[in-house]
Amino acid sequence: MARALWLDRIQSAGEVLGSLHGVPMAHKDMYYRTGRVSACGSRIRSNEPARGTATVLRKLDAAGGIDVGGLAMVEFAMGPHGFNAHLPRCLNPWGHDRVPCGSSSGSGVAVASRMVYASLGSDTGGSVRCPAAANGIVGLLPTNELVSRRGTMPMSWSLDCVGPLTRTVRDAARILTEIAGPDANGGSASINYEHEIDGPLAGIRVGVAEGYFDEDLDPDVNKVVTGSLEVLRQSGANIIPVKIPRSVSIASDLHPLVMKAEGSANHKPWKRERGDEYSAEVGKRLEAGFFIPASDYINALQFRVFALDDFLETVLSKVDVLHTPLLPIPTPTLEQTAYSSGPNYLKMVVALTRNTKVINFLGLPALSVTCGYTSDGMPTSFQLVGRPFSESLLLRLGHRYQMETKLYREIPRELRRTSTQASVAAE
Amino acid sequence: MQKISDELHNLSLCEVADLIKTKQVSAVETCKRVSNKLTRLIPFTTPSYGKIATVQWPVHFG
Repeated sequence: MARALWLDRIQSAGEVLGSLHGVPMAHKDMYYRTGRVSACGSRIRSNEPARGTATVLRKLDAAGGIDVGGLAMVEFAMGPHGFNAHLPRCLNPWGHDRVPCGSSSGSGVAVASRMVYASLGSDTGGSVRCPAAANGIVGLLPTNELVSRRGTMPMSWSLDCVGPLTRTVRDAARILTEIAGPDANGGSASINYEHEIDGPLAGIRVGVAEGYFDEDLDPDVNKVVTGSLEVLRQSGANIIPVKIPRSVSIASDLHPLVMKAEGSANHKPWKRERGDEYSAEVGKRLEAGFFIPASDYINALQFRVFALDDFLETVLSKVDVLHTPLLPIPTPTLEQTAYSSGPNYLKMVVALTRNTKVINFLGLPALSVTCGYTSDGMPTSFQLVGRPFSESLLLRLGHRYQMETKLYREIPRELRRTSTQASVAAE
Repeated sequence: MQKISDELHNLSLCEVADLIKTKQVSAVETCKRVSNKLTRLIPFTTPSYGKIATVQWPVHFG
């Protein structure tokens, strides 16, 4: 509140810091700020104030944003469904019996619940886009290394990306404008993504995936996501089928290998000395990384170069943007994602990140936008994938879709119920 | 003004930033609306205070 008072005072004197002046935000609890504890959803870091401030927080501060605190997340960002054994349940505002997805679970819930106007998450295999989809908001995965990660918790050195979760695509464009660009503890983007958002869609080629992304797809999700293509077509885009190369399927298999190997390397000293402070689920995931041979890891990194070239040549030379479902299944229930449910648990975890992790592997930008509701009333999203540094194009398409459908104005079911109960009580 | 305040939390980031910029609502008022919700929904957040660090933790350098 002290910062809000100060911002109001300087504004009265005629000074406005930037495009986020006075806007309250909160971020996944893994963005370090000097002197503040960012627990990273863990017990291990729950008492350790940070020794520096993340570059992205410095940039948001410089733009006038207000950081109101850290948000719940999956322990060390290792898990896609949102559960954290060390924290109270993070509740999906569209259905309290449903997972919020993760690992940026608090970011998805806080923005969808109208607690804050935007939140930074991190995306290693879908951790911005999946909670955005499950909570009915927007999630942006920028091109790998477009946004500085300095001063953030590392999960996977080569896959981690910083990205915003917001209610509108325009909001995401504004946040990206502030956080993108060279590090140097304050460099800014040379592009104003928000200014480019209103351009026409005429002639833009939107690809519809044939292969991989349309496999194991729930019919209910397919119906909603396919319907969103018609909106883009009517707005001027050309819808073109495009075959997905086999390298995407291999990328899907290799992504967990890279993520686990790099994650385990980060955690090695603590796993040895403080292993009992990890939850069983995350502890087991990290242990798997210790048994990956260095040769397999290096080969997987080398394959990334080939896979990117192949994807650019066979997909993104034929279309400007690829349109896919984000979550291939309806948002799971809490019960379905219980760690104790055996093989079904693993199947569920794999399904949640099936369409997102391959994009991290390729290092491409992707935008997740809510496009409707499955028959159980839960939101579902499409994903737009583009060439490196094509964020402006993705944002333009997503923004036009939101302007045509106005779905971003929908208030989550549990919030409507809560406000109705409050009104009845007041009467 | 009261109507804007009531609807504040349902606005988008760009909409609320424009209201603050044009002085139709203050940063303090906006934060109050948010902090009311944070108080009610505190399980979503983690505490941001603690003791002195004793363990070196890897961190991204770029």
